[in-house]
Amino acid sequence: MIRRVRPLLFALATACLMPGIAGAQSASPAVSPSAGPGSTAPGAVPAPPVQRRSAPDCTAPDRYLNPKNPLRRSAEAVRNSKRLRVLVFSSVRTPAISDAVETKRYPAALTPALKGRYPGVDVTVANQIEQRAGISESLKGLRGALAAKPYDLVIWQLGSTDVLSGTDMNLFEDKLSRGIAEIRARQADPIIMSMQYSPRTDFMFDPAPYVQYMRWTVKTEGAGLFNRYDIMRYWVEDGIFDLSELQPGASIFEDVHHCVGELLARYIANGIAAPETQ
Amino acid sequence: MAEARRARGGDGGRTGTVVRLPIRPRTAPAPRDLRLDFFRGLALWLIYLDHVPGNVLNLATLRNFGFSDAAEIFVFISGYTAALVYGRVMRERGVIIASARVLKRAWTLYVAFIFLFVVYLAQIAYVAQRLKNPLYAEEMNVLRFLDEPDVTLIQALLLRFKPANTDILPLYIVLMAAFPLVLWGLTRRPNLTLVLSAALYTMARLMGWNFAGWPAEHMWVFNPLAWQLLFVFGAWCAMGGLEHLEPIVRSRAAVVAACAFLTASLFVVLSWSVPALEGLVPDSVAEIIYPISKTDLALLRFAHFLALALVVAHFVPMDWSFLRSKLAKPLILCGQHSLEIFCLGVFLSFGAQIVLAEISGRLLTHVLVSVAGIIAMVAFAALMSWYQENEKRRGPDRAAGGT
Repeated sequence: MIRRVRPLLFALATACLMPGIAGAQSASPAVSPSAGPGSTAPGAVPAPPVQRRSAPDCTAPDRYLNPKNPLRRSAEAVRNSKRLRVLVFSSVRTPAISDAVETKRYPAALTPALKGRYPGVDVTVANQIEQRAGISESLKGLRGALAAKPYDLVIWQLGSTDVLSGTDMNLFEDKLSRGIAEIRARQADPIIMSMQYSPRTDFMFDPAPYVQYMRWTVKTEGAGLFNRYDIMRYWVEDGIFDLSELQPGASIFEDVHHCVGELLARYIANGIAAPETQ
Repeated sequence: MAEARRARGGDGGRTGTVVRLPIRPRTAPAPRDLRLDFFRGLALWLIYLDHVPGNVLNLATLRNFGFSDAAEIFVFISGYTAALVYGRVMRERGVIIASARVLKRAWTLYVAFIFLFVVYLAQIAYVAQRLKNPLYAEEMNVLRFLDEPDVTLIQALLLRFKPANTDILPLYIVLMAAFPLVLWGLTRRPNLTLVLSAALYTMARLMGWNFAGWPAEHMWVFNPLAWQLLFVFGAWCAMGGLEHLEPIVRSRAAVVAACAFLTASLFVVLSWSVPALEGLVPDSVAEIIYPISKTDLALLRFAHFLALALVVAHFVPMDWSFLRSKLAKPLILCGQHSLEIFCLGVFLSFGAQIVLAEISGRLLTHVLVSVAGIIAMVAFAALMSWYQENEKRRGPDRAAGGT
């Protein structure tokens, strides 16, 4: 019996291991040159100019790129006032983000992508970071930012710190609902952006319940959800990015943020172009 | 005399004098309900599969088909079996002996939790040392909590810091620590005890009571003040409550209603992941039912579990021949050694995660890692049974003065 089973086990083990070994032997590029068959073709937002080393193929299924609720305020601002004032409010745990790093984060990619999409419209993207912020501190910071200046569209990125520190789910839901209500009270469209997908640490800090609460809360509050977590998971599953490498190539940060910025712009454009806003 | 000797642990034969202890007559133990072991084994398999993030087989686990998941099954059956085992001890040997045994069990659970915490630290230390991915600067920063071992270790010992995947153990420890009181209540006034448990659940839900965790703003993932209801309900069923429920279990109308609820819940849960069903839950309904809290055992989760249990109890008789077949044996074995198998499952899920991340993330590897983990769990459970049998056989030797 064992003799009969052994070759089968060996064949199975080989079938499993070979791609891993092959991957390890290759130069392990941070970004695959193409998304491979079956991936979705880019939508309406134009691809960035091809000056990069090997431009990542920023794709994601349509379901991640179409807001469930139209971005009415933003559409009105673009159509009537020829302007789009965007606030990207991030809650980041990293103690300090240098200017050099900032130019590689997704808000930096969002600005040209939106400007390219809306020629003749005055697009401004304010980028504010609340450091070491769980949702409570983040909400306080967001309030301050909303009080300081008016915006048409607010992207509230949060969740990482809460997952890592295990914020109570009830508190998380309560603050998230309040934040969305306050953005709306300031006459802006709210978009919630979920945390990054991190295959190496997901095991130790489970983000799934927080993502689920975000889905439920945006549904009940009528906000948009740019689900960065699911999109990055899709990239990993589809082989577009390998995010589980412990020491990847230097370009991984830039490439991932570039794609997040690109897809976020496409998400916003789809929300503005929704039939309900016409 | 034999009874008295047994009461003293079987080692009193050497002195020749026999002290008669007041012992209540032994009642013949009821035949073991293998359904309990079977479904607890199933819950342990599902918990293992759910604990390997990104595992394709996760898609087939219970949580994708309804509001409740394997945790509810595990807690309910744990309450049920705890009452069966310690309820008998309490009737035969009194409150103090039964309480002492329950607390000994709670201590074993605590030791198991600390063991898993050490495994968790090893995993974190491994990743923290090697992770140099600039994309995850935030996560790397958090992994540095190892720089404060004094705080982390003390918080873990106090059950305030709970690594992912082990959350259910601290809940189980607290439930067992409080179980002597519950058991005492159940043996005297079972219905009143259940009502008090439901009252505590209601108060915890209304007032937002939960145990504080660490770091700040961290509460227990399984709120013991809410989840105790399921545990006590399981114990109440075992202490004779199930007989009161018999008419409901047999009622066709109740089963139809339960099936309808399970179907509705299936569609709601599918609407979270299947794009075509996304608009299925109207906003007005969503406002009422969301969020469906796992931490506080939302009523919908509790109701879903009850419906599931009702359907299973209706269609799966206690003497179902399949439960005695070889096919059911692996699950029953795992269910009979739940604590060890749970711990092994968490341990194996660490290994599975490393295999998927380091070696290959192909679909076939997902399947192999899952199957291999389950085989390991079954093998370990079989080994535990072998030890147990061995110990039983050694019993008479020890009584006769053997080693």
